[in-house]
Amino acid sequence: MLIKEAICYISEAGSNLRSESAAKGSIVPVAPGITNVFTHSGGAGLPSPDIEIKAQEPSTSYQLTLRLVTDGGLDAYGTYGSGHNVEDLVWEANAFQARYAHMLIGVDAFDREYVWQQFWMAQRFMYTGRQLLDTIDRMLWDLASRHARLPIYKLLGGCRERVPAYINVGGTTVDDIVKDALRRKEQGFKGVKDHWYRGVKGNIEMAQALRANLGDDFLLFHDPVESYTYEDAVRVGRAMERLNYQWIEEPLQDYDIMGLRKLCATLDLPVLALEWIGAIGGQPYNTAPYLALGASDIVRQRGIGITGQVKQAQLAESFGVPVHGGDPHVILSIGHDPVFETGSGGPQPRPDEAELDCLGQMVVEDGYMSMAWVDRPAQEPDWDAIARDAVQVV
Amino acid sequence: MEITSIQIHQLRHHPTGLLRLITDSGREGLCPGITPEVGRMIIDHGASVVVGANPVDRERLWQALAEIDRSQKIAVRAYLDIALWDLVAGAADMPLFRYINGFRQRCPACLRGSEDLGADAVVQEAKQAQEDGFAGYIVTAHLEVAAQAVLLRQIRGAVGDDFYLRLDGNQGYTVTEAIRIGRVLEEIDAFCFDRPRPDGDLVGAKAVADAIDTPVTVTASTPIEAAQPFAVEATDQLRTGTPWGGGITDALKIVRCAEAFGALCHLHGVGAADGFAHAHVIGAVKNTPFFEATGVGVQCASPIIRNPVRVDNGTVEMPSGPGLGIDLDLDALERETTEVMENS
Repeated sequence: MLIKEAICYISEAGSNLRSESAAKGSIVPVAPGITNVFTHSGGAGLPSPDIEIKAQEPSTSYQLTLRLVTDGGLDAYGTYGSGHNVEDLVWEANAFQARYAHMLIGVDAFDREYVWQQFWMAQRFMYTGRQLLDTIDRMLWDLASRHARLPIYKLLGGCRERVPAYINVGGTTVDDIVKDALRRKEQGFKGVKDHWYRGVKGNIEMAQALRANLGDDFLLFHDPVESYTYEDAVRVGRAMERLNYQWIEEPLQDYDIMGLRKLCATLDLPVLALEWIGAIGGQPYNTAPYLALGASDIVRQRGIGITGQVKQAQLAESFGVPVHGGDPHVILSIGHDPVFETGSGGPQPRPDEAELDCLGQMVVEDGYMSMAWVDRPAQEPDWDAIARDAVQVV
Repeated sequence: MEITSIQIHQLRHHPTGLLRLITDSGREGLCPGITPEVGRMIIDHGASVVVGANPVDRERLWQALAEIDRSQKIAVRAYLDIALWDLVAGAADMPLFRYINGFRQRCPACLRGSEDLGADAVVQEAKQAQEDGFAGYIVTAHLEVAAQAVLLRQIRGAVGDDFYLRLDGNQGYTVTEAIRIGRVLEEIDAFCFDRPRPDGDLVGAKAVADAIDTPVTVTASTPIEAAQPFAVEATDQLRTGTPWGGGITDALKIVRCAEAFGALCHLHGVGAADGFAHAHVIGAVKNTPFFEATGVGVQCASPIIRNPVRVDNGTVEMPSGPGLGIDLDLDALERETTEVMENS
């Protein structure tokens, strides 16, 4: 099934009132007595600066849909970009046609490995980042899924039909986060993960409160997002070992390979790393030396396409090491990601049978993630109508 | 789709038979190249795992089969895994390498040299391989060190500079010998030195790999065995192969582990399923440089396969039909079948 041409459609996609407020993602010194180090300002419980900009009028948003037309009757397509400025999206579409289309036209749409390798190299030589690679690879897997009339996890080789799920929780005070966690437990989740930045003492108090209120069998995960020093991480890690936590995630900067290695050796609590390393986190080429050096006990997945995530998962498997996160299809096709991370959205009920097709829709219900699908072809887009309604076609 | 039974045919005029996974959909998954002994093991140990299963749950089935292989110290997962891949890719109407993740449609081939030739005949064979269009020649002749050095230099002299040469040490050298041979391999610009030390001797392999510039390979026959040599820097490249290193699933995991380390992984020989399995794996990966051929043309002649894997002009073409792409001669199968083993 050869890719014959690439068409970009720029279409209206609703409107919204744009606003930006002061972002918190830098570092702040936390209150004396809690700890003596800096921590992450996001969610540290400190008031944020009162800075906001707000548009006067709602603005129309636009979407750039990329379609790779094949000679096989089914096309690959996906969302390539979005924004409020048509001119910019038209430029982006033209840029795609000029820079990348030639890497796809004439290529078999099932030669995903070839395309992935092409775009992997392009992220170095053409500075494309991981997004382009991720988008194109997913479009091609989506096409294969519609062609074979099987969800991607079955194409990869089904391993299990459901995976226990936890969810991320938060709050301003310890009481808040405990309440949030209790609510999630009631919804059936098997565990919760915090992203909490109160330094060593504050985070240990939080962990103790969570364990005391949620019972011994509830799964707890801690993610301080690079806000610790090695010493902080040892102290928190020891406390969390005693509280039977599952792991500590991204305790140090992923760049700190010596620190992570020392931490893995010191703690009984597994250390999860590799989300944010180099130009692209969660990729096998960085993960290999980390695992060889013992600098990560569990490895992270990032969006580098289904193809890249399979590589990462299989590398981890060859070390007998768990992998965590990423696409639900990849997770259902492997046995060594122990638990599914649910975003803050919460449970996702099973859609009506009539809404389902071979692509599948993710379900998070009663504490498990699964894929709802039926053996029915996916509804293909009406390209004529899309072209007619488009603001511009490139 | 559900697998309803396993049938294994043995043939009148051919040493190996055919594994068929029969399903309720009318589709079948095939794996040729099954000896009677292997067939018996598949029926005894593997059948209970796959019969009644949906073939798209390959990873679950592979894990169950791998566990049986581990506990029974046998290797039945390879054949069943290959037949499962044939079945699912066939059902999707895609050639297997593209069902996996297509990378290429053809790949250069090296000729695996004969083991029992005299030195002059080996030089002749390498020269002939070059004339036949092969990308390279794998020396499998195994002489004592001084004679081996002479032979290696003679081969390079005969084929000139632009031809890949590999030496398969066949686990037969001491570390000292391997380093001495390695110096000659550096001199003749060899592509790699396959398994100079016995499988499992990572300490010895590391000593050789550290000492010589020519890349060294060690064998991995499970995904776990693939990571360790890199972690302890005992090798530069890997080698694996079906069926002894498992099936297509194992090969993919092992090749991808090597890829994560920026390393090549060779697939040893034509492999299981009469060459079809290796051809498809190579079609789906970047870091396997060659198909290892037995000769020019047909790689594994079989009375029941109309389109055997071929190497022509030093190139293997990935089979293009659905699944493994085997064009089965049903009349020949019926005519040739002497016995059909079936799960009870």
